[in-house]
Amino acid sequence: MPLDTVQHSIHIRRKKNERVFQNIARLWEIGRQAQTQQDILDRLHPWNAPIVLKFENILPLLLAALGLFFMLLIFIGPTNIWLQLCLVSGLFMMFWAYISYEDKKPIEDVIEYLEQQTIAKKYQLAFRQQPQHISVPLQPVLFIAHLKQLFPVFNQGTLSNDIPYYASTVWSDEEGKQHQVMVFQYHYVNEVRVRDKDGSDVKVKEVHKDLWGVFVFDVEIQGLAITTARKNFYYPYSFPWHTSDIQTNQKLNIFGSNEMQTAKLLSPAFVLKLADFFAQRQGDLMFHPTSHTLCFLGSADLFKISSQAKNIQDISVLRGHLRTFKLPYLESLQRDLTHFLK
Amino acid sequence: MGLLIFLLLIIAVVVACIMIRNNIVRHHNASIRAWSDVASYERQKIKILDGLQPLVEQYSSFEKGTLEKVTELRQNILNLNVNNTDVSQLQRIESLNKELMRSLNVVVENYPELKANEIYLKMMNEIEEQNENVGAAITIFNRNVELFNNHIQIFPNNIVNTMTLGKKAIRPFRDQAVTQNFDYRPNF
Repeated sequence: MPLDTVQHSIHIRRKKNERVFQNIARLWEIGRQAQTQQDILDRLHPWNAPIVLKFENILPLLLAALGLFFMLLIFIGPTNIWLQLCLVSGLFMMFWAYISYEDKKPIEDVIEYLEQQTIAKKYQLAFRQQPQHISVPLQPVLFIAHLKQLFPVFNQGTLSNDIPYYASTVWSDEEGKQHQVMVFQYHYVNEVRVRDKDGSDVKVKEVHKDLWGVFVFDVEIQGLAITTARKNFYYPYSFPWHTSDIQTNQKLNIFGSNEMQTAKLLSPAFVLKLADFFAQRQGDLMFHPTSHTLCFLGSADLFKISSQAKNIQDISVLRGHLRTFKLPYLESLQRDLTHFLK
Repeated sequence: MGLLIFLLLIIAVVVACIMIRNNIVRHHNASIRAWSDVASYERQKIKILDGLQPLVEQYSSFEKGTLEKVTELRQNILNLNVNNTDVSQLQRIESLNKELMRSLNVVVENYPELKANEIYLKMMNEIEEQNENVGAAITIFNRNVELFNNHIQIFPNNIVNTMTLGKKAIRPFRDQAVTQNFDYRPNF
């Protein structure tokens, strides 16, 4: 926007807000240098400077209100020289208010950056990186395309099926066994044709939807697909299977790639583990028939943080937010899945 | 018109009765299958016990009780009725199983070389795995029994059951050895 460029080039930074900008710059630096979540928290306390993280905009707002009032006076007597002078001064005040107003965006940007850094460090999430156990560097696009091909659930969109956001991590269970994991967001777009009231004209509408899930690598179980949805799986999960548990059969649909293997695998202990895993969860859980890879896809946002960054006006509140917020759905999935794979 | 409504009501009642009856049959069959799972997982233990017997025999010349427990458990598992629910026999097997596991732990403490024996350790792992599956199978059996009993006892299912099937409520499995240790006794 040209107007934004003008505002930026002739912007007046008041001394009071200068301190907030210094704090913002320091926060960016902390985010870049910190190695752990605790590192970020330690650098936020003690702050040893004014802790304010809110721009003082009372003067610009007052000036704007006064300027508007002066400008409106012109309607009383457009020919009066004094009121014409008022119009000019009103315009000047409005301009002054405009160039001295501070937008909240720099504060929101740095808070978002610190949240991302905290998430990455707390959950050891390496964003947009392939899992550690794959030693050969792969093209991200090809790697994602390969993973999508393994499971028949990434074809839900008629227009597009993307994994725009992913992160690699390592999960450890209670016995210390490690699992290579990739957490992802799956975005798909469907085309919906809508008819007008007349029933003749056809409008094309795009419906965007998101699902979230994980790939877990080096899993022993193979050739099984379980879903809470009332749907069927097809090749390679061609054989539907009913367990001996009525409640599990009512809630889950199970498909195997080989009848004999499925019968062996679905022992009573395994069935109860499955029932526990899906007790508070909706989605699809699939084990690839040959590649030792697991995929879970569900509607819960795994990257959603527990508390939103609202009303953060100083460093102390920001520190409290960064210390307490978590990814509840990811934590719960990690706990249940590592327990399930034990 | 009145006759049509009357006929439609009759048809609706008949369809509802058929659905209730079919559901009772489904739940009954699921309970039978769950019981078969319990019995077959118990039976699978026999194979492991057969291997365990000579191994323990080498070490436990002074622990004859353990060997007797292996034989007794094996015999009781063989006597478990696979086709019909035999909860009291299952309770006996589970009690013997616990006793045997306790005795084996004592034997292992007395014979450290047995503790290091790979075959023995493998067998113990297998027994533990089987026990885990038996425990899960019993849980599933009890869950199915609860659903089945609810299904034949609630109204109007009880009428449909009495008129068409006459199924009786199944007794769920209870671990008496554990419940005896509680002071609290539920009043049902």
